[in-house]
Amino acid sequence: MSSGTAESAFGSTSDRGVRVVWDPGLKAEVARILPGEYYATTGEVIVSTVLGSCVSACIRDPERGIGGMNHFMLPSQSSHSAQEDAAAARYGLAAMEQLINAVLKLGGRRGKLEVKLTGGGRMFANRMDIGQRNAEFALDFVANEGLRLISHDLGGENPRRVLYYPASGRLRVQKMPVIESRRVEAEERQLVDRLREPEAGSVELF
Amino acid sequence: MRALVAATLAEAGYKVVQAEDGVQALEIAKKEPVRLVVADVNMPRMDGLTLLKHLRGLAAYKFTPILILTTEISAEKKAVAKSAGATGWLVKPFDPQTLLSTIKRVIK
Repeated sequence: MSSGTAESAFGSTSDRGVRVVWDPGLKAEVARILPGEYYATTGEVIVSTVLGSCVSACIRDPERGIGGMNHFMLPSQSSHSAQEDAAAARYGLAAMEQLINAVLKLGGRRGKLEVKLTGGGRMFANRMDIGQRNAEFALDFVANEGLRLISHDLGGENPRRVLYYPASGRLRVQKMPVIESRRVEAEERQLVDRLREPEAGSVELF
Repeated sequence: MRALVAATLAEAGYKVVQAEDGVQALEIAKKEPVRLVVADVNMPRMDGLTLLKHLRGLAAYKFTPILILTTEISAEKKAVAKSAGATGWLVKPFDPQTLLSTIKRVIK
């Protein structure tokens, strides 16, 4: 089952084509997701990404070994108002909902889902801490939805290289040197541009 | 997301009946006719597009406005929705105001 995605040997679902490639070092298929993407699988595929201030939620049904990971950030704001907060949260909600729907679609059961959260780093000391905002959103979402949070590794100043094994639930987080922050953050900025793409929020009446 | 939609509509003064999934939505729709259906593509048991096809097969829902919500940007599914008789297609995330103004346009 897929929706416009590169196929692995296993059932998988993601948004626009997330590429799944064989990684000789890990001896496994790896789906590398970019900001704004997600990937869920029923197989032994490893989902990987690099996080700056973005957060990844790893969600799985442990009994069935079906799960996946997303990579999201709330759009940054110039000012703080309740309305803008709500607007930003919708992007987070959509990201979480997409992943959960994908896991359920592959056969995961909602009542069994367990969650691990990582990311939300503070990338520049002098900037508004958007990492913390992303992390708080994710923690609130998990609490509000009554999902089981089994671990979280959030905040700090290092970017993270993340590998998630949905089949076993293992999450490997490697802290990268702080000097990489700028490059990682620049990549994540692309997400903000994508969030502004015209289709989101579009209405078409037939 | 369903809570958000329900709260937005209730605040605007609409009477809202919620369903957990497509199967329940169809049962409710048969029992108490509604003037507008807002359905997500992704729902457990019966998805939004299947629900749409079932509803359009009922005499009472031939002309009822049915809005489909989605996070998937899929031209193929949009075409399916259109040919199955959907009234509108909204890509999430959207603004609550966008939803309300769309509803005002389709409820006559």
